[in-house]
Amino acid sequence: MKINSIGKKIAFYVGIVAVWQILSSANIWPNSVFPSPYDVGQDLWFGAIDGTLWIGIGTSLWRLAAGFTIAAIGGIALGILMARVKTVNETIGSIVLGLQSIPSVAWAPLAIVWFGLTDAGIIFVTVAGALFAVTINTYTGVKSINPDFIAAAQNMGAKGEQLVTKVLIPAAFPYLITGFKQGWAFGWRGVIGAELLFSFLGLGFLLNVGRQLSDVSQVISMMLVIMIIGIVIDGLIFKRLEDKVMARWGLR
Amino acid sequence: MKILPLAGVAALAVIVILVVLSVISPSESDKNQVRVVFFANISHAVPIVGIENGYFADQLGDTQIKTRIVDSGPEAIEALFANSADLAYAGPAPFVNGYVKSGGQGIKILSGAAFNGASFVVQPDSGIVQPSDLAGKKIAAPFVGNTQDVSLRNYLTQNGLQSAEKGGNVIIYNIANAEINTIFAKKEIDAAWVPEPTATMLVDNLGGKRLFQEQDLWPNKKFPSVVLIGRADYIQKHPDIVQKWLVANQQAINWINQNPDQTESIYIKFYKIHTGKTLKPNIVHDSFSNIVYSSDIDAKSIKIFAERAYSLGYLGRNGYNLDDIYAKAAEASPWQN
Repeated sequence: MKINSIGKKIAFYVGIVAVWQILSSANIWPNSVFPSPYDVGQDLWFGAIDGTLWIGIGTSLWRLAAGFTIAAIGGIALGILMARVKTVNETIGSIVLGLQSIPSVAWAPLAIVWFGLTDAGIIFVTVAGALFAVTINTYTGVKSINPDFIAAAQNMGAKGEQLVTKVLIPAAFPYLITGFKQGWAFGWRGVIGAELLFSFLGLGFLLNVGRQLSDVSQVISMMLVIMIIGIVIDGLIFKRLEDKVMARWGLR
Repeated sequence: MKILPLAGVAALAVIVILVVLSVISPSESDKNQVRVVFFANISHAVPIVGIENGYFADQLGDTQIKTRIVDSGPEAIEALFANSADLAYAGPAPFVNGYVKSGGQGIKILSGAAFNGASFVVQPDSGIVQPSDLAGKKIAAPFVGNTQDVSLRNYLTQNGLQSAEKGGNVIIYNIANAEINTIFAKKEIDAAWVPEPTATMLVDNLGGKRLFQEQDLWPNKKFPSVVLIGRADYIQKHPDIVQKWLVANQQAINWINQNPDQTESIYIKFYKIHTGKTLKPNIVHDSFSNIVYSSDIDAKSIKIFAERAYSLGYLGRNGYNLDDIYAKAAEASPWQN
């Protein structure tokens, strides 16, 4: 079964590359517009040799990590406040859904004005992208805790910080994981989008360099790297975390 | 296992869609028109004067002229490649890049247009007086691969410095000229390698210090900054239009050299219409005096730009050749040297 599934995947990817190669050798479009898989692979190889690829990946991941950490902490705090304090929910809560609907890259012009062309500006865009997904999921998670549990904990003397860290967060954890999963994906889009606009290092910048040099193979190779990093982070970190939590919380 | 036939059908569907798309897209280059792109920089006075004084219109008769202003050479080359422009005025570095990227097939040089007209301007309090002071600094240049960007990065490498994305400590911001002006004013950058009139604006309006003009670094104090580029298939399809354009191009150059004052006022008017901003006459005058307008093609300098772009990794790693960069029309022109 497992081997069969891997076989299908390999066949699928080999198929894509084959169709791509056939299309590019058919010479319907010039190579400068539609490069072959070989061109793209070569571009990645050159980037890996002279180090620009690794510096780009490192820069983008660093910004993602910083932005995501801020968004996760802030989102959990905001979500719990919204779920537990009525006034917060009635005020801030009413706007969170609206803020969530703003694409993160739409924050970039504001970030450029506020922070200038700095890492802080790009991290700001990342936070703006990830924060509200974490907030909304935390809110839903805390809201869906059986009130009896909270009452029982309070009867046994839990309050304040203890209630939050020992009861609310663990009980809402499966929802938090969902929030993280969505949040990092939004944050990753925010990082790349902001780098495209800021033109200040990172994978989004390298993608833009490809565009400006009429180097479509660099554009495609950076898109592939962005996608592969997405798959790897999701598969290695969040999917595993989710599986563990789901198993431990008895949700599957 | 029905996956294979399914994949085959899917692949076939993709091919059919793409072929249909490429067939039905209208062939713009067959029309009796010429679409030309250039910048709002003063080094582009040749197309600006040619249009404002009606030289192109007079030569081309009923051929429709469509103009579009872009912000940088890479954008101009992109427009040529995407078949949304037929001719472009742009710097030699973007030309070389586009030429090599299209395997020597896509675009050709038709004529020169301008020489010089770029400067390295630093913040007055940045303490930059010599190349080694640039370590750890933030420097702006227009788009990656444009002529100033190539010159700046080459200058850094020659002085043993390296940009941040390659692991060095000099941060280069590649942003549009108007934005460079803004962030220079906010002191977010220490220096900028920019074309005119931006360079003079940084000096006259913002107190920037002109460390040197780019031509000071070149042999004979002269380097090509604007050339006329054509899409190869357009040149082949419409040699008559191209020939007439070249005649008008030369008329514009002659007029500019004979009427510098009027050129300046035409440029101020043009700049106002296209950017909404009014340039001070003294800025235009100072910028203008830094530029030489000529249809000469400086093959040697174009080769130097190519060498620099190649060593920056802009042209791939498989070598390049510039054997066929001139259009036939240009070779036949009597005024070429």
